[in-house]
Amino acid sequence: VIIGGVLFGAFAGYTYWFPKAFGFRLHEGLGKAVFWCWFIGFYLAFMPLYGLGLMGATRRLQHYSNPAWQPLMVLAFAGATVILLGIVLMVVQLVVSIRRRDRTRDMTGDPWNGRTLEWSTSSPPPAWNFSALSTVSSPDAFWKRKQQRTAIALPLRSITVPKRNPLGVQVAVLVALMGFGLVWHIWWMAVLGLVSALGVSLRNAWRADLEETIPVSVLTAHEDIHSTRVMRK
Amino acid sequence: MIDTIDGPPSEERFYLVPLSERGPAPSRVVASYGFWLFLLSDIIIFSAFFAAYAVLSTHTDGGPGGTQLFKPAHVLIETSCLLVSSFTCGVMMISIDRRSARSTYCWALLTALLGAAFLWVELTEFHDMVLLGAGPSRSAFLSAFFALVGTHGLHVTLGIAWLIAMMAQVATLGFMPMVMNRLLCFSLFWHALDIVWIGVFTIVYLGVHR
Repeated sequence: VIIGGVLFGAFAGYTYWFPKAFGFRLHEGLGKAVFWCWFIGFYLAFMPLYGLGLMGATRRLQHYSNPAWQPLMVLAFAGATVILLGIVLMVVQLVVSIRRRDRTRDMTGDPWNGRTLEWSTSSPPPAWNFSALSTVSSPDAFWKRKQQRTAIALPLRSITVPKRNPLGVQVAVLVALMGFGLVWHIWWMAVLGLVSALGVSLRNAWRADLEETIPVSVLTAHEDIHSTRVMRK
Repeated sequence: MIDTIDGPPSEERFYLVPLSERGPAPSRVVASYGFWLFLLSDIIIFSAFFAAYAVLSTHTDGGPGGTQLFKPAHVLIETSCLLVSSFTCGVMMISIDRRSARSTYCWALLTALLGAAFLWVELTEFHDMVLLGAGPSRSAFLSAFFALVGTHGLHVTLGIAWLIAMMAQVATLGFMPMVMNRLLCFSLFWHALDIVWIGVFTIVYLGVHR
């Protein structure tokens, strides 16, 4: 259930949105190899286990003495090996994709000829995501816009966005310190974590410059570059 | 948040525009919406403790039960303190709307003092119980009791600390929008604690006489 239902969906999302997040696509050939390893490995590993379950095997045995289970167990092990190959290939795919990123660079922000609005902005998206709010009158608004060749709504307006802020990471680390201290009764560590977490939060509470406004000139410049790249395609 | 070219729209004009065309909501709406989500997750924590208490309240392991331990007079003082502090917190919010710093400090002080009085009575009660040998490790009933009531008390403690920090913000930064948003969230927090206490009062202290 987890591999077929959750993991395969997560892998699909990873492949699909990787260029939106990082600005370049993953290596396609290796991606297909990863798919076949996982797909075949999954059926090879888990179908025998269902059979074994019906024969009385429980999950996660560290020992079994029924020789009738052996052939299916060996088959399941072979499947697990194919899955392991898939995992190794995923790491290889990521490394190869990063090293060859200049060949798969996504200049248009729309590498798959997508239908939904996230593909209308550049890859990776700017800090403000969308320079102008789209008018949405039907499902797949971006597809409709491409069919009718309409441009995004102008004039642009300045956009206020939160600034980069390390507070979340700082509090996460300090509260983890406190939790560790509480679990293992290291009281100085618990107090240190709590007091410093409160300290950084309070210091942040007095910062008045938590947001910045992106002026129209920056938005226009970004949109000009983006639309030139889309045209060039 | 997107500003219109000729400045942000007035509240009346804002509500004349159809919902789908209003653009991003004002920051106080976004902030309080996010805080509501936090409060709901907090309520889920309390629901779990309430459920545990409901199951375990009769499991006294031969030790003292609620009838012997709870003092109705103390509970009456605690409940009055919290309910009145909700009222003073409401009046504080009115003072904030009027940008009156002095009146805000007065009502905030009253709110914090009532919260502290509540805490004092609660801690005295906990102290006496532990001295009687009725600490959290005595029975499943007492574990559930201290977990539920103690978590609420911890929230009140943090609420008082938050209120003090907010008064320091009003004193140093004034009534800027960032500070106003936080005060709005504080009042939501304080009223939510009151609602949780109504649950504690009903299930823990009234439920004992069943």
